[in-house]
Amino acid sequence: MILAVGASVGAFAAARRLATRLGGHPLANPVLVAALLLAALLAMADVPPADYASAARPLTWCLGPAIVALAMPLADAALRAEGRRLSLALAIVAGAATGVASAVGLARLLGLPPELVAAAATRSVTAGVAAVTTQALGGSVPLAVALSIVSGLIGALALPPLLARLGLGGDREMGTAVGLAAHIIGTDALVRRAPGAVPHAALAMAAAGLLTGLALPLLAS
Amino acid sequence: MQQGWWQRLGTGWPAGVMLCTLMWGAGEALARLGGLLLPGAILGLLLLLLLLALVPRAALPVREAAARLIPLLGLFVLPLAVQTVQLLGGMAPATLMKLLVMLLAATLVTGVVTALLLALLARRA
Repeated sequence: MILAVGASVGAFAAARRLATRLGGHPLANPVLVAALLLAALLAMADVPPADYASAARPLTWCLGPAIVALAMPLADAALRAEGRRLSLALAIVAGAATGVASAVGLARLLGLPPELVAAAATRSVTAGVAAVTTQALGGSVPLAVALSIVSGLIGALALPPLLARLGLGGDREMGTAVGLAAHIIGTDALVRRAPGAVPHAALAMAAAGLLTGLALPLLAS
Repeated sequence: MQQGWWQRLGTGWPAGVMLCTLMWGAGEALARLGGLLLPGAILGLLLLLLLLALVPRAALPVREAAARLIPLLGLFVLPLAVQTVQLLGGMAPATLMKLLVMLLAATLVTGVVTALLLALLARRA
């Protein structure tokens, strides 16, 4: 257990240092780089990834308090949004609903297997929220995390230039859209590209996580 | 003057982490006892929002804890992310391609719809 946690912390710290050196490029995302590094190490040591995940359970346990802590940026941003809360709430609800409907609809249309369709529902929320929501729904948690990370990378790379080209590159529009569609990975990419958009992205990310985490299990039941 | 439980607990990040953990535990208990399908962490987030509204002083340690916990979200999902490398690597190329098309289209549609709606609502206000 100590070895698994230590290796994870070491790989994550190294990946974060690399991301900083590369100017925070989305493809140098610390979770992606550290996961690839650990997967290579596990393959070399002939350790099944499920055994490693089981040994590193203390880290996964910390997801609970970290997700609860998202209440703070949500409360702060909600206070700052005085006077335009209704329009923001409408856009976030519509965006979160679009996120779930478009992913599930397209997954069905493309004939993807049922476990991928189920994992697609949580792909636009941050990986931690995707994990706990999928766990509550009884789906494949690693698949949900994978789809969430890949969505974040796509959104961080493609959304800001697309929105700017469509004339939607204002801090408020870009921040809310990127936070909602590309969660923490997109928000992190905005720190360097559009710092003024970051508070909007943090609010959208936390609100979308809360909405999806509440609505999906209720809809499923 | 007698100090409240909150003042005795302190205002540093350990108190904030403890509070977040307590709220998570309360959320898990609520979900289990109420037979709810909702994730305990999401219910805990709601409970903490409620606490922040009722006890504004609680924001001090929670802000300290959030500044430490949120940047580590990536580390906490790492054990799950490692399993995904194996899962995606073992997928048939055609399925993987369809999956990427779905993720690309859904992510772009979600972002554009949100930004467009926000711009339209701002113009109407």
